[in-house]
Order: sequence, then structure tokens, then C-alpha cells
Amino acid sequence: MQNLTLQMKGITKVYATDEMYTHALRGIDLDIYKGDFVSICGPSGCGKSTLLSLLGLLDMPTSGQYFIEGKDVSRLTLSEAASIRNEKIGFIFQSFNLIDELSVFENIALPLRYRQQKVSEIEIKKRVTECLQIVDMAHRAQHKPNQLSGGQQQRIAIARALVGNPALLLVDEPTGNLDSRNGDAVMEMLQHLNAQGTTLCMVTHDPRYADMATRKLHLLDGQIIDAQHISEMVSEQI
Amino acid sequence: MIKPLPYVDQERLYLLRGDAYTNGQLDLANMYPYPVAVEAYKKAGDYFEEFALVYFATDVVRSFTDSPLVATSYVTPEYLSLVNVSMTMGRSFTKDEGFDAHNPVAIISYDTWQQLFNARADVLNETIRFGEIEFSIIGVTAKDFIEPQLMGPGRLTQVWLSWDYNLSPPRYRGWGTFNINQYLVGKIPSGQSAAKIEQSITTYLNSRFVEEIAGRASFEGGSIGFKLVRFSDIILVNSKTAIFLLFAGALVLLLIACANITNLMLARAANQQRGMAIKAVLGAKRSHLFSSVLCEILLLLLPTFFLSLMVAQGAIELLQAYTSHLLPRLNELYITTSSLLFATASALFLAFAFAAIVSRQINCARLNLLLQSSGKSTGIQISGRVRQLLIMMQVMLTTILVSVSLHILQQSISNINQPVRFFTKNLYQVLLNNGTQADSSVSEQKGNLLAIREKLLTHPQIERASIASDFPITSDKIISWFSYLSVDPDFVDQRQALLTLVDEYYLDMLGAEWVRGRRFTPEDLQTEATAIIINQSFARLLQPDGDVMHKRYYWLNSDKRQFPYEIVGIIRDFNLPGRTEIPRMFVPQTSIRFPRLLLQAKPNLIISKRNVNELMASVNSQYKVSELRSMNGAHKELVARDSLSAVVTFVLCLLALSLAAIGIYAVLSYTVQLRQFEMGIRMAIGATPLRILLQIFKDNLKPVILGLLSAAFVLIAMNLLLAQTKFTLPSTSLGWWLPPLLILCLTAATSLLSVWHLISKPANHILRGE
Repeated sequence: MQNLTLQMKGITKVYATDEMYTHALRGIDLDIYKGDFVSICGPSGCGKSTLLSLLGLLDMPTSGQYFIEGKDVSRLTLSEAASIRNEKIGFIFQSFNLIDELSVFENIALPLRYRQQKVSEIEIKKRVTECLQIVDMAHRAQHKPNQLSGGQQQRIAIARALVGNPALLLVDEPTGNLDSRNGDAVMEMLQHLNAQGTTLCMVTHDPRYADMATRKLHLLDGQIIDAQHISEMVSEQI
Repeated sequence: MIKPLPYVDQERLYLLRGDAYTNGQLDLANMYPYPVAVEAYKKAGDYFEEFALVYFATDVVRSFTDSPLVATSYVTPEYLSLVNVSMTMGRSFTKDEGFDAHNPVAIISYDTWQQLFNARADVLNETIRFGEIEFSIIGVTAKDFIEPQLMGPGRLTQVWLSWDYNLSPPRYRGWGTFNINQYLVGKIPSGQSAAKIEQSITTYLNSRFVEEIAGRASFEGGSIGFKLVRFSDIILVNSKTAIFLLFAGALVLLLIACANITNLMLARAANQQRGMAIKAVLGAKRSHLFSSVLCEILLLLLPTFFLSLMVAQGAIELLQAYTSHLLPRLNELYITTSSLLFATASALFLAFAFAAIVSRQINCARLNLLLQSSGKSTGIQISGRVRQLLIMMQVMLTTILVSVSLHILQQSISNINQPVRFFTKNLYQVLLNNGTQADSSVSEQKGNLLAIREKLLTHPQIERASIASDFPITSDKIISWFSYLSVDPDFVDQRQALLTLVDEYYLDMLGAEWVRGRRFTPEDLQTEATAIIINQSFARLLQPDGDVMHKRYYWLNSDKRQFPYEIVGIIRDFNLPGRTEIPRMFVPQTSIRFPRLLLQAKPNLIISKRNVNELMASVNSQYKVSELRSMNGAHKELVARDSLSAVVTFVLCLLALSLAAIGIYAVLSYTVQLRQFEMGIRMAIGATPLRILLQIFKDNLKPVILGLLSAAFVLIAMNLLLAQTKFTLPSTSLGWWLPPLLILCLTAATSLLSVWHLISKPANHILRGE
């Protein structure tokens, strides 16, 4: 239980409008352990993005319980959620979501600047430089994002996600805006991070990349229909 | 200020103003003897194309039981033709009712006809009595007749009377008595210089004056001088600064409103960019987009135009109702066809200008890109520089207007609340009209006044009563008299002070603060003792160290001129708002030419004109109350201009801040809309709502600070510039520090409002563009 990074119990999410209720998630139970690489697959509208939003505390569940490293985070204020997001979770988006007005360095430094406990400039510089080296982009530190290619931008996004040393990395269609060569490179990098102990949870449409995960979740109509350790499946096949 | 007066050849209409001098030094301003006015009238044919005599007064209508006080003008017939009078009924004066005709006739104003005569159709058969004279009413002026307000804003004649019956009693019509409010007015011939005429008149009238006063010791070294003052200059005097400030304030407000509307238009254009993109894709050119924007502006403009006309009409009526005694020519203010056309043209011009500004900001190429984007990228349509410039302009204009307004507001409030250093509560000042008693002997008048004072004390509502010749707060209906003290009986070295003849109760009833010395005693009054009480200003004028107690001075107007008067008391200076205290002297005497009463009501009781009239009638029926007003009311009138300034500047501040708030909010909200996705990203990676708010506030501070600095620069430059002119602006601490603080608070509030919809919901909603 000590290695349980996050746990969801009976999570539901209902979007309500004046005219109708949409049940995006229906009773999700999910455990993710330290070092896991979980992929979430499913058709459009099955609730993948909603699940990722709830995992990343970008939204709050309608009901159910959610724990991150044993702490109940199901009912947090926006400020509390922001603080936990900042310290425990790293995000990698499909469209990179870098801020054009800031340099690569400042983009990566941003999560550290939002820390409740002030991080010194020396520390920020050290950690940003380390992350830039991890993604092999140290030479582009002073560039603006719009001066970089898509693949390079995604690498910067990965560096930004890593800089806060998060417990969990949430990845949303990381290769969606990239060609296959850059996509492969990004996935290789994610695998490498996982191999070094980073916990990853990734939403993807691409079965090839989904297969790279150590666990695969299939979502349909807001429910997990299959959760199986890829390694077990592989061993069974052997 | 610019519109010509509504009289034929108005630029050639002048009033002859005269001053009296002793040994070349100004002695009495704006007054001259009655015979001088008559001489001027007789000689005026040499200088003027048309001319007339006019004497402005107030008098009690004795033919009405409630003895109403009305504003009267005694005129020769030419006056009303000079000011192009028109009539509702009856006729104007004729030559038979002119100078020396002694034909008592009256013309009443339209309002007087409505109010005093209930608009009776047979008013021309009636008479109106002033003093002992019955005047036959021969006409009623037209409703739209505009009288030149030569005696100040709001002073409108209610009854015009034949000149011969003006209030100067025969014994005050000598060459040695200087009267106020009587003037020769005339139209100078075309092409003639007013200065030359002024010189000729002065030469002639002064020689006549010197000839007549020759040999009189009290007029030794005396002379008179005249100035021709244009009607328009008299009417606008003292109001130019107020009008200029009001105009400047309105102009700045208009500029803020323009910047504001531009902001709103740009924000609106930003909201419409997708629609515009579709139009652009379908082949719309910039001109099509311009037409579309213009149409929308015009549609918005139409109801706004009518609404603003209604507001303008309401504001005019409000101004006329409450400020006609403070601002000149308000009775001529109304929405005319030309002002309507001007407003329409301005509105159309602004509509075209705004449409042009908005359509110039639309980048067609980017609009096409917008359509191709996923919708998450908003694509900046209106440049950041333009947005910052708009905020900066708005902040600069608002700060300037609010700062100037606050300077004036604080000054006005300080004047309103300034302690005057005498009592005003429960005190009433009463002007008396003594009718035929004005010509009675001094001792008879004195006896009457003392009897009236005793009689008034029997009234259950009256606590105390006092007789005096003046009050600390005078109105334009009160003539104040100056006199002189001198250490030598020949008055070689004399010092001037405002003279008030008082009884033994006056200064105590007022609550005058004593510096040194004693009060007047009943014995002082009985014997008309050679004692004088003065204020600190006069003490310092008499002797720089002010230590003049028990010193003796000769008093110029005394019947006992050969005996020096002793200074028996010194009171603290009064502290009237907006005025430097003048030297004052108080003499124990109740034989007074124009008597006044100071009454103190018992707590929570009110003294009425009727009460006083009834009591005085039991002593002598000739005594009537001309005017009764509370000291509090007099104080309110004294600070009326300050009250108006306070209200106007407060409204200006509120309007400016409200407009700025709307304008800044529009730009910020648009800016936040453009940065919505960026904010979502920041929130996703852990920025708390407070962080986002602070970020937006910090980003907005740059144009705000620039705007504040520009405003400070303009204000300093304006102050330096004004220091070179005759215009002065009060400078108060509040006016310097409060506007920046208000603007910063406003920025914080608008930042919060503009970003609230983002920070009040989960980051996911923002990233999804909800």
C-alpha cells in the first residue's frame, strides 16, 4: 500500500446543463502505483479526457473518493487543488501549451515560481537546467516557443512537467500534434522517464503507443471495461 | 461665454460705472452721487446713440397684506427699448413717463404677473404700491423676454417703475451722498471707442463734481472717475473661472467617454471576430466590415441619442432650478435646433470615427487564420499596444479630472465646514423698510427702533433682539459702509474699516470672541459714548503690533468729530469662508439710516416675517420687514457657490471614475479573453486563483502607472502654466494622493472582475474554452 500513488473509488462525473445531464464517468475505481505507466484508451467521448482532468485535479468529481499519496483530494478548494497540482502532478498536453510570451527557460521555471514555499533563483536555475538536459534542449533555453518545432516544443513541455519533481505525470495525447519521427522520440523519452521511476498516466488514441505502457485501461461510456497488466498478458501469451 | 446677448447691437451696450477718489486713492468703489447720474443722463446725448438711467433696488409691496419684497428697477423709458423688451400685454414706458415726468407707472414681469397677480387678465386696471406711491400697472413683459442680469446671476427685475420715484429720498440726492446700484447705460455709436467716451465723460462729470463740492472740508482732494463696462463683461464677471472649469471638466469627461466607447467597441469587435472571419472568407472586404460595424454603432446610437437628450434637458432644468443665482445666463439655456443639429453631427462623426477605428484594427489575414485554428488559439486581433494606449489614456484623463475635481471639492468642503467664529444657530437677520419714517428725525427713528426692540422681546418665540446697521454675512441687498479712523483730527493719516453701528447686545448675541477689553454698556448707548470696539485685523492696521487698547482715534463720520474715540475692546477676526477678513469697527449707536435687527429665536422655534411685522406695526405701521433670513440660511448662501462646486466636482469624480471603470474593464476583459488559454495553462501547472489575479493586476499596472505618470506630468505642467495666468486652482493634499489610489483600486477591482470568470472555476473549464 505504501507504493500506492493514487486511488479512485466510485468516481462519477456528471455535466449538467439546463436541458440535460451527461454522465461522463460512472463509478471509476482505479489504483495507480509508484512507477506505473498507465495508458488510457477508448473511443471519442468515452470519458478519457474527463478522467485525466479528474486525475490532474483540473476538475472535481461529482461523487466518489480520490486519494493522492493517501490524502483525500475529492473535495478541495480551487487554491488547494492548484497547490497539490503544482507539487504532485506534471502535465504534458497534446498542443504543448507553452506560453508564447515567455522564453523556454521561463516556461519550464513556471511551476517552481508557483510553489507555495518560495524556491530560490539559484535552485530554479539548477533544476531548469537539469530538465533541459534531460530533454536535450539546453541550447534552446533563451528561445521563444514559437521559434521551435513541434517536437522541440513537446520536449520543453516534458521538461516543464518534470521540473517540479511530481509524483505523477499526466500525459494527454502527447504525439497528437507530431509527426511519427518526433512522436516516437517523445514516447521513447517517456518510456525512459518511466524506467527511471516516474509514474505516468497517458491518454492516447494510438494503440502502438498505448502498448508501450505497463498497464492499459479501456474506457467505454464512462466506465473502465478492462484493466490488465500488459506484462501478465504477455506472459500468458508466452 | 461666447453666445452674443440677445439685444440689438449688444456689443455696443455699455454701463457707466463710477468710483470716488480722495487724493487719487480709491475711496468708494462702484458708486456715485445721484446728481452725477442725472448730469450724465442730461449730457449723454453727446456720447451715446441711445441711453437710459436705471436704479436697481428691492422694495416692499405695501398694497399686499404679506408685504412681499420684490426686486425693482427704476428706469427711464429708453432702458426697456435698449434691452428690446417684448410684452405679454399692455405697453412699455413712453416719453410721458420719462425723466422728470413724475408719472407713477409700473410694468411687471411675466413671473410676477403669474405669482403675485395669479395671471389675472385685468391686471392692467390694477395698481401696485411702494412706499406711499400707487403705481398704475401698464404692462406685463413677455415670458421669453431676457433681462440682462447686470446685478449678478439670478437677479431678475420683478417690477419696473418710473425713474422719478427711485428710492433715493430727496435728502440723499445731494452731491455729497454716494449711492450704489444707480447707473447710466447706453449704446455707443458704431465705430466709436469706448475708452475715448469714458475719458470725455470722466472729464466732464468730474469737473461738475469738483465744482459742486468745492469748499467742503470732508471732500477735500475728492474726485470721481468712470469706466464704461460692456454688458457682456458685467454679466460674466466672477463666473468665467467657474464656467471655464465646468467646460474643461465636461470636455475631459467627453474624452474619457470617447476612449471608453472605443474600448467597448474594440471589445465588441473582438467578440465578433469569428463572425467577421466568416464574412471575410465569403469575400467581405474591409469596407463591408466597416459598414457592418457602422450599422451596429448607429443602431446603438439612436436610442442613446434620445436618452441623452432627455438627460440633457433634465440637467438644464436642474441647473436652472438650483444654480440660476450662481451662474449667469442660465435662463437662456435650452436645447435649440442648432444645438440639436450640432449634437447629431457630432454623434454621426463619432459613429464614423469609431467604426473606422474598429475596422482598422481588424486584420483580415488573421481573421482567415482564426477560422482555420482549433478555436483554442484566439489570435490577437487588436494589438496589445493599442490596448495599453487606451488604458493609459483613460487613466491619464480620469486622473487629471479626478485630481482637479478633488482639489476643488476639498477646498469647497473646507469652506463649507469652516467655523465662522460667530453664532449662526437660532439667529435671524432682519432688514427693515422704514417707509416714510426714513425722512423723520434721528431721535424719532432711534425711539422707534428701541421701542420695536422692546416689543419684539415680548414675543414668546424671541429670546433676544438687537439693533445694528450691518451683519457679518451681508447679502447684495445690504449696503455696507466703510469709515475711517485717524490719529489726527485732520485725517491726514487715516485707516479704513467696515463700520457697524450696534447696540449693547449685538456682539454678545453674535457670540463674538473677545481678545481684550470690554463690551458696550447701556450707558455707552444712552450717551452714544466715544468708544469703539474693533477686530484684530483693524487693530493690526492701526498699529502693526495690534496693541491699540485704550488708544484714541478720530472717527470720520462722527457728529463728535472733534472728540477722539477710545478703543475699548478688541474681538477676534471673523472667519468667513473664501474671504480674507476685513478690518471692522463697531460703534455704540442706534440712530441708523438703514436699520437692521438681529433676533435670536428660542430653541427649536422659528421666527416668521408675519410675527415681526405684527409686532412692529403696534409701534409704527411704517416699519416692515424687507427681508428675514436665518443666519444659517445666510451662511448657506455664502457657501452656495462652494456647495455647487462640491456637488459638481463630486458628480464629475463619480462620472469619471465610473466611465473609467467601464472602459478599463472593457479592455481588461478583452485582454483576459485573449489570454484565457494562457491562464488555463498557468492554472493547470499549479497557479492558484490569487496568483492569476495578481498576475493580471501586475500586467495591467504598466499602462496604469504610465497613465498616472502622464497625468502627474500634465497636472504639474498645468499648475505651472496657470501660475502665469490669473486663473488659480486650489491645491490640496487629497487631490494629489487620492486619485492614484482610487485608480489603483479601480484597476484591482476591474482586474478581479475581468478575471473572476476564470479563477472561479476549475482549470479544466478554461482549457476547454468554457
